[in-house]
Amino acid sequence: MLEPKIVFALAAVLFSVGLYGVLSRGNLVLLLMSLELMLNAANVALVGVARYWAGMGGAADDFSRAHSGQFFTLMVMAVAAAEVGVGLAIIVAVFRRKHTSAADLATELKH
Amino acid sequence: MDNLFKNPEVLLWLVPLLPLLGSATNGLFGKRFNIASSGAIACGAVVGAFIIALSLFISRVSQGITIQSIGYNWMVVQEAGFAVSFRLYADQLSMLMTLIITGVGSLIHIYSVGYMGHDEGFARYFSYLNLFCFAMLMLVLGDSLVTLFLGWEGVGLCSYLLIGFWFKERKNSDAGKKAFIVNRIGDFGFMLGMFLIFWHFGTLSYMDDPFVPGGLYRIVAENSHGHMDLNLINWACVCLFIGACGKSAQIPLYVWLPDAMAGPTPVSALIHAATMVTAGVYMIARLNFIWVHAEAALQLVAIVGAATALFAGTIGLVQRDIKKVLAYSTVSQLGFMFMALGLGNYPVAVFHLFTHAFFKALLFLGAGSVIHSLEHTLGHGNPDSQDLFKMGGLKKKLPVTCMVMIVGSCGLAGIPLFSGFFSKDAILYTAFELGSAMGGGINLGYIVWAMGVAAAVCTAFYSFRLIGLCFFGKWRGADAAYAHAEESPRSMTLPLAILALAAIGAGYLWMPAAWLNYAPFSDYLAPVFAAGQEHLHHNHSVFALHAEHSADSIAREWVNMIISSVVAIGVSFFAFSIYSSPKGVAREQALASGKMGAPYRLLLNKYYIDELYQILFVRPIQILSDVAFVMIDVIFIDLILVNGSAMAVATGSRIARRVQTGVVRHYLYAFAAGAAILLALFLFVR
Repeated sequence: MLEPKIVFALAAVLFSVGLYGVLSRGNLVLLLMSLELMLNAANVALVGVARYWAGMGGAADDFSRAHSGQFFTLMVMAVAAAEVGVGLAIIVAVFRRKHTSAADLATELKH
Repeated sequence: MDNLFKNPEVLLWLVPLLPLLGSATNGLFGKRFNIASSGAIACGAVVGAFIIALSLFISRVSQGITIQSIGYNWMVVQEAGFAVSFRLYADQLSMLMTLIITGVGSLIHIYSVGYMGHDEGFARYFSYLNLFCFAMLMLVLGDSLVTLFLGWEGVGLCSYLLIGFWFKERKNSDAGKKAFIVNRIGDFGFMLGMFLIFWHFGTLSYMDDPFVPGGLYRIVAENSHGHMDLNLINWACVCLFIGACGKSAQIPLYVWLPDAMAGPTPVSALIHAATMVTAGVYMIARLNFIWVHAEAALQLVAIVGAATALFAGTIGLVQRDIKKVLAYSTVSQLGFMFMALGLGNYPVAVFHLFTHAFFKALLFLGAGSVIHSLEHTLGHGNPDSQDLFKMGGLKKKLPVTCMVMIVGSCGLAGIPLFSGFFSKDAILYTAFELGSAMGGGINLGYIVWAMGVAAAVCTAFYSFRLIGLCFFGKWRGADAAYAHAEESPRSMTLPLAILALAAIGAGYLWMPAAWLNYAPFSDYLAPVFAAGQEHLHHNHSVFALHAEHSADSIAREWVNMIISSVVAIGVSFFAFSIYSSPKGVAREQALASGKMGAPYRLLLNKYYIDELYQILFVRPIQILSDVAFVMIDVIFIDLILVNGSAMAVATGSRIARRVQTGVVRHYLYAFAAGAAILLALFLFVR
């Protein structure tokens, strides 16, 4: 039986690494990658918790409780894929205009 | 319909409503009228009102039948038992006033057609003048103090509009504002008086009140034997008198009337001599049944009246402006009327009001005729056309005007057999008689009498100084003006002639008892004062009037009459002989620069009362206003509230705007920080 603590610790470490990456990296591509890392930290937590609940016993037909975590993870992956698609398109558009992919130089939102 | 207009209760309404209609017509459509149609409408309205009033007078009121018109209850407050009876009430007193207003008013309207014919604003002028007649008629005919006050304010408004009629000149509109503001002080007192009367009696109507049947007349009569708070009534009467001081130009609120001469001269004749300024006298005479209970207030009225008569009379002695002389004489004569009221002789006050209306209107219109003839050459609004020192010898040029002015001056000065003699003599005799009735050496009656005689001396002097300076001696002004001066048109001289006849004849309606027991005027008015007199007789008051005359009182009347006629004739002759000689002006100027210079300048500058008021009241209020303007308006409202709030928002935004860097990572920091705080809240605070 996998300890939930270990799963959560892994997820927290992944999330923190992702957050650090998001906050510290100036490159838009690295930013996007760090975002992916954070999303996947959440996925790890979801899958881990689903597994933990499935091992708790209870009603045999409680299918949704045992598997909802996995479904959510699949959902997040699909959304993340779409998000990366949009994000990369934005990065390409920014690069075309500014010939750089540095996040701090794109300040048009201010105006 | 036919019967409706034969009904006096309906017909009475036409008296004030005709001038209102005339005013509306001239006011709304005046631009399309020429002087003839505009004047015809205005004159027709007032003459029509006069004819209706005269028919009502002959058929009803002179027979002793009072008329209460139809009407309704206005401003009904069930809970407080308050209602205003919006009706007209024509008794002997209000009918007399109505006849004076419409009668003298008609003559002045006709005169105005000639006088204002060349003024482009004639339609506006006639509209105001008719509106004035309406308001004045509401004042005298209303059956309630509230409708009286309505008219009171209405005439004040018209006075303001007409004083500032030539508003393009700053001083004229300033004079209008002064009249309005000074009157407002009096009106404040008047309103307090009304509140006190309502508080005490529960009604403000004379006759008809849905909550208090019989109105003030009945409730005062029922409570006249000791069920009244005399202290409160005295205060109420003092407050009402403050209102009368404003409207009727008594000390200390008389200052507006001399300035009111800035208006057209017929306005001075109608509003500021014959009718509006007597509203205060009318009010006290109207409420005589209340005033008889306020002896302290009456004594105040007597003293203020006597002081005003003397004070204004002395100022009139040295004025150079022909209209200013007449203005101060009006203030002085009004003082005589208040003197009579204060001494409890209401009918005599009304009698003096009556005769004064004729001879003073006559004098003003005569002065207007002089000014009109000189303005032709000197130009409109030229002060020289009113300067007595720049006139002289106009008798040859203006024979009719000269004649009627002499008649008017004889009336004003109290020369025997002219109307002013009968009324003024009766007032002085009242004071003299009261002095002897009160006994105990120097008393109120004798003091007032002495002041009255002194004022009569002034009156006789300035009346004939005016005549001498204006019509006799040598012309002292610009030669062209004299050469082109000519008698005024018929529309102006005809009213003058009629007024001159009235100014002679009016006095014979009340002969001195020492001469003849003939007093239709006093008999006619007696019912108005009956209730009050009954109370005074019941209490054996010295203020009660006596119909019968003892041998002693006849003797006193002779003494008084001889003193006042000798004074009037002597002083008139003295003044006339000085000022009709060519040296008159030179003599007065020598006097002014000689030993008598200081008192002369004191009088010439009207005792510096205007300057005193300027220092005491006007400057402090201006300073207060300036301070309030800077503190409240500029600093508090503009700077702190308006600009302050705007600046606070601007500053706050400038600071808040720094958050918006546009750098994505900064937003992410904020986002992460926010999430961390939320997490911390969930974990630790719960």
